[in-house]
Amino acid sequence: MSQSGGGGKPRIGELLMSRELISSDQLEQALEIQKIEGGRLGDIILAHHWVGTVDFYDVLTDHFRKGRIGDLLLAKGLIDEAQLEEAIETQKYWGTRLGDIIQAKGWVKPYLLGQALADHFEKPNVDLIKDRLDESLLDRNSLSTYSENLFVPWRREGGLLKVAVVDVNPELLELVGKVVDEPFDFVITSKFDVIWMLQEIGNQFYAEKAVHELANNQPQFSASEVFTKNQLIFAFIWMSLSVLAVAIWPVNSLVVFNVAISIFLMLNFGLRILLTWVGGDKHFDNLVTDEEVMAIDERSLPVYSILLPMYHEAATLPHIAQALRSIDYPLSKLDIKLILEEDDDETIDKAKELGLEGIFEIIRVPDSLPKTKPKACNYALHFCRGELATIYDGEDAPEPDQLKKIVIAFRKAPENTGVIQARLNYFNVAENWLTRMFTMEYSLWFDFYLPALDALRIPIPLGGTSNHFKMHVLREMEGWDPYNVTEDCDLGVRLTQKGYRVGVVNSTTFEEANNSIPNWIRQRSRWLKGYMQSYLVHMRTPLKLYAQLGHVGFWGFQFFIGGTIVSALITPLLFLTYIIWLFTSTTIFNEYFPPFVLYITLFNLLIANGFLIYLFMLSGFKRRYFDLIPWALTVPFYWMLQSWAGYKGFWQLIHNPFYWEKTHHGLTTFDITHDVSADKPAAPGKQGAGQ
Amino acid sequence: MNQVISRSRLEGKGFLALLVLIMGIVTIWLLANGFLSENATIRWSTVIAALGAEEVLLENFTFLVPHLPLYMLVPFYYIPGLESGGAPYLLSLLASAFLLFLWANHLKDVELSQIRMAVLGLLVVIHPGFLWAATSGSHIALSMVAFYLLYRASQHIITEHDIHSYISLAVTFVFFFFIDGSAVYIFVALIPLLVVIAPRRTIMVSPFSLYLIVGTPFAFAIGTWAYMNWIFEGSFMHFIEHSDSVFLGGMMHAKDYPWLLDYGGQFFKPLLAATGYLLIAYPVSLYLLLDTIDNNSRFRASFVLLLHPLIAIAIATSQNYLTHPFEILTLISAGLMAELTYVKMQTRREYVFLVIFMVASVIGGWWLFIETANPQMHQWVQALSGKQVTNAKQDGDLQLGLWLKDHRQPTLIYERSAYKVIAARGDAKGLMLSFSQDFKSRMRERNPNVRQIAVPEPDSSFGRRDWINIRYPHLYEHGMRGFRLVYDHLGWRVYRKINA
Repeated sequence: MSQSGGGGKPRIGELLMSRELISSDQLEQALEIQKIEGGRLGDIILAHHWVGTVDFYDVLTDHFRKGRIGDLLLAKGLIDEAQLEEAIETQKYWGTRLGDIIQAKGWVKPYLLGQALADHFEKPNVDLIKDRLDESLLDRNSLSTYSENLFVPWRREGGLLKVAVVDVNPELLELVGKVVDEPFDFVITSKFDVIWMLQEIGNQFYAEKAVHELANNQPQFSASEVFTKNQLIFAFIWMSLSVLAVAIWPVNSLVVFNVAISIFLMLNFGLRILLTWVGGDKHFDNLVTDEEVMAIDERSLPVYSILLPMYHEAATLPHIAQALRSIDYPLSKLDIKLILEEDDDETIDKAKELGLEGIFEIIRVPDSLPKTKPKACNYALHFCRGELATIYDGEDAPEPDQLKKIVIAFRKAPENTGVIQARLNYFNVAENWLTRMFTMEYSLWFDFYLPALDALRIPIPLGGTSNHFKMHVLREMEGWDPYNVTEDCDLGVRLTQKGYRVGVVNSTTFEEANNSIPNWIRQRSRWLKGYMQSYLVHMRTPLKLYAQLGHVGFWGFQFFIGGTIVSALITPLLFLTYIIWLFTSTTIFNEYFPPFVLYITLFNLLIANGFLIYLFMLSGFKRRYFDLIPWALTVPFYWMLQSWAGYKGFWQLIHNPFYWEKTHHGLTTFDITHDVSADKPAAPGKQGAGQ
Repeated sequence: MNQVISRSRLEGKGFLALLVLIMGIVTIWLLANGFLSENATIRWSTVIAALGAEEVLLENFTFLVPHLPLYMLVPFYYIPGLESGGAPYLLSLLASAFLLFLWANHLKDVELSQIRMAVLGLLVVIHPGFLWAATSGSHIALSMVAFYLLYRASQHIITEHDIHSYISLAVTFVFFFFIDGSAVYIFVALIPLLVVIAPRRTIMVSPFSLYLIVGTPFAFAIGTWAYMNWIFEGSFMHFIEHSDSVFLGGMMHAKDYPWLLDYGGQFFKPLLAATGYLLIAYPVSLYLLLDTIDNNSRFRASFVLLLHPLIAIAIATSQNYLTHPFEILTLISAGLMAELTYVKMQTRREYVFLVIFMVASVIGGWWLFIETANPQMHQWVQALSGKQVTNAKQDGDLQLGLWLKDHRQPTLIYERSAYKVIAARGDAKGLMLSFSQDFKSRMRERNPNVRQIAVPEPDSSFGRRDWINIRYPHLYEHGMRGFRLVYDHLGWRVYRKINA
C-alpha cells in the first residue's frame, strides 16, 4: 500500500476525503505523523481507527491493485495463455475467483499463488513457518474462527495489528475486524501456513474440543457415560423382579417373557414390512432428477467441505483422490480435508507423495484417546469452510453428481432439513457370499428403509459416510460424539430430537463390502455396540424422548434401533430352542408356549422370517443385482453372524465401550468404482491389492 | 370444478351403495327362498365348531380348508343374531361391496362421469358371475377381491414396473392361497404369462429372478401351510392327502361332476371348452383385446386377462380339481373391473361399444350360467326366480340340528358329516368334535363314556366317511350297550346313555 500508485492515480488521502471517510484535519494529522515517524499513510489512518479496514479497502479497490491475478501469474510464467483462457472460461460457469480455479486445477502451488496475490495487493507475502506469528496476539477462544476462515493475527507493526490472510474480500475483512476488534491491516500468506500454524499452536484446544465439547455442553447426549445411575437402578430393579418372578412363578414368568419377545419381534417385522412398502415408492428414486442436475447453475453452488478420515489407508488414498477429482462439482468450491492421524506416517507420506491439488488439505489429528473417527472429524470441523459438509471413507466411490444432487435436495427440502443421507452400496458385490449378503442388506437399508424412515418421520440412523450436513447445523450439534462408536446413528437421532429433519437422496456412494468374516464381525460388533450406546443415551429420559419424537418417531426408534439390537441378541436363543425341539421332539418347552404364544412364534418363524428373506430378494431386484436374488435364501446364516457380532458388541459395551474396532479396508480384489453395471456387478480388477 | 367432481364421485358411489343394498336384498330373497350354500354352511359350521370348543385352537379349524375366509368369519361369531348362519352371506356381500368401492376409487384415474360409472357398475353387478359370487355366501367374493388385486398388480407391472407392483402381485398370491385352493392353479397359469407382463429387459437379463420375486412368497405360503400340517397333523402332505381336503377340489369325487367327467385329466379340451365359455360369458374380454391392439401395454394386459383364466381352468381341470368352470370364470368379472380402471374411454363411440359388449356378456353369462349350472347354481337360479328350493321339514341335517339345539347334552358327533347339523344348531357348545381330545379319547373306548352319540345313516355319502360309523360300524343299526335310541329321523340317529 503506497501513498501513490503513480501516474494519474489519485492519492489515498484524497480518495478517503472525497468519500468523506476522513476529515481534512485527520488527513493533515496523518501526514504530520508520517513526516515525523515515517511509515505509510494508510497504516497511520487505519491505526488511528479513523476509518474501518473494510471501508478503507473498499475505497481503494482497483486503484491500488497491481494488475490482474491471471496476468500476474502469466507474467511470472506460472501459467500459460491456454490455461489462463481455460480458467477465464471456467470462471463463467463456476462463478468463483480465478485464483481459486487455478489452484483447484493444480496449475500453481498455493504458496506461489499467495505470492502473486501479495503482489496484486502490494502486500508482503508472509511465510508463517519462518516468520512466526506473535502468539500473544491470539485469542484462544477464537481459534476456531481463525481456522474456519483462514486468517490469523500475525504481528503488531507500528502500533497496527497485522493479520495474515489467505484471501482478501470484504466479508473476510469485516469478520477479521469483528474478531480482532481493533484497527488492523493485512498481509498475505498461504492457507497451508495458516493451517499448519494453527494446528501447532491450537492442537490442545482443537483436540480438547473434539473430545469434550459435546460431553461438556450437552452431557445428556454424550456416550462417555455408558450407563447412567438411573439406568443402573432401573436395570437392577428390573432384573431383581425378573429373578423373583421366575423363582415364584417359573412357568408364567417365562410365558410372559415369551409373549413379550414374540410380540416385539412380530411388530418389528411389521415395521420392516411397512418400511419396505413405503420406501419402495418410486418417487424416492426420483427425488432429484438428472434434468434438475443438468439445469443447475454452478455459480450458485456453495462451497462444500469433504471430510476424509483415514487411518493406515495409504493404498486407497489415490483412488478416493481420483474419485473426488472426477466429481461433477466446481473443484474450486471443494474444501477437502484429508484427516490423518498424527502417527500415521504411511498415509501422510503417501498424501505428500501424491502432490495433491490445493483443494486437498491435510489435517493431522493429534494422538489422543478416544482414537475414533468422530473425534478426528470433530477436530477437522474447525478447519472446514464449506456451507455444506460431507464425509467419505477412503474406499468410497460416490456417484459423480452426488454433491449437486445434495444441493438440489436441500433446496427442495423443508428449511429445517439438517442433513441428507445418500445411499450406500458396494462395488465388490459378487466377490463372495459375505459381500453378496452385505450388498443386499445395504440395499434394503438405504434403498428402502431410510427413505421410509424419512417419510414417516422416524429418526434415521445415519450411515457411516455420505451424509451431507448443513455446516451451521453440524456445528450447532457440536459435531459427532467421539465416545459413540456409531456416532452417525447417534447424530441422526440427535438431529431429529432437535427438530431437524434428516432427509435422503437418490444418489449412491459405492463402498468396499467386507469380504472377510472376521473383519465383518469386527465391523458389525462395533456397529451393534454403537447402536446399544445410542439406545442407552437417548433412552436416558424416555418421556422427554417421547415428547420430542412423537408417537411414530418414538416407537419407530424403539423398533428400528432397539429392534435391531434385540433381534441380534435373541435370534440364536430362539433358533436354538427350535432346533432342540425339532431334533429331540422334546415336550419340555410345551408349557412355555401356550397356543396363543405358539401361534405368534410360528407366525414369526414362518411368515416373518420368510418375508424377511423376501425383503433381501427385493433389495437385489430393485438394484438390478439379479444374480443376488437366489442367495437371499441363505440369509439366516447371515443373521447368525449378526448375532455373533451382537454378543461381541454387547460384551464390549460392558468391558471396553469406547474401543473402536477398526475395519480393514482394501481387502477386495475388485476395482473401486462407482460404475457398477446395472446388469452385472463390477468385475474383479486388481489382485490382492491392499492385502 | 373440484366441487362438481367430488359431488359426482359421491353420487357415483351413492349409486354403488344402492347396488350393494340391492345385492343385500337379493341375498335375503335367496335365503328366504331356501337357498343354502354348501360352501357357506361348511365354513360357518367350522367357525362355530372351532370357537365353541372348550379350548379355542387354531387346529380346530382343520388344515383342510384355506383359513382366511374362516378368520374373517370369526368376528361375526360374536355378533348376536347371526347364529343361524347368515354370516358367510354377509361376508360375501361385504367383500363385494369392498371390491366395488375399491374399483370406484381406482376409476378416478380414468375420469369417468358418474352416469358412466353407474352404468358400468350396474353391468358388472348384474353379470351372473359377480352376482353369484356376491350373494351365494361362498368364498368366491374374497377370491374376486384377490383376483382384482392380482390383475391390478399385473397391470402396474406392465405400465409402471415399479417395485410396489411386484410386491403387490407376490403378496396378493399369498393371501389368495389362504383364501382359495384354486390359487395354486391361478398362480401356475400366470407363470408362462409373466413374460408378457414383465418388462422385456428384465426378462432378457434374468427371467429366473423375476419368477423368484413373484413366486417366492407363494412358495413360502405353501411351505408354511405344509409345515403347519406337519406340526398339528403330523404330515406335511396332510392337506393334499386327506380325502376331505378342499385343496383337492373335485379330485376324490370326479364322477359326481359332469365337467370333470367330460374333461377331467385333460388339458387342451377343457382349454377349448373354457374358451367357448369365456366367449359366451365374457365377450367383452375379446373386445378389450381387439380395442387395445395398437396400444402395447394395454394389449398385453387384455391378452393376459383373456388367456390367464383359460389356462388356469385347463390346468385345474387336468388335475381333476375344478368341478365347474365358473369357479374360475367368475373371477374374470374382477379382472374386467381391474382392466376398466385403465381404459380411458375418450370417445363416446368407445364407451358405447364397451357397454354393448358388457351387455352381451351379461346376456351370454346368464344363458351359460343357467345352461351349465351345477345343483348349487341351479338352486340359486331357482331361488332367485322366487321358487322355494328346499323343504326344511325334509332336511335331515337341519332337523337334527334343531333337535340338538333343544336337547343340549354333551354329544359325540363327527363335524365333517354334520356340518349342516352344527350350523342349524347355531353353536357347538357341548359337542365333542373330532379335533378335541375328548372326541379322540372317547373314540378309543369300546363303549364311549359320553351322554349322546349322533351318527348318520352308514350308507349315505356322508355316513360312509363318518369316523363314528367307521369306529362303531354297527352303532347306527343296532345301537350300543348302555345307550338307548332317542332320535331317529331322516337319516340321523342319536343314542343317549341310559340313566343320563
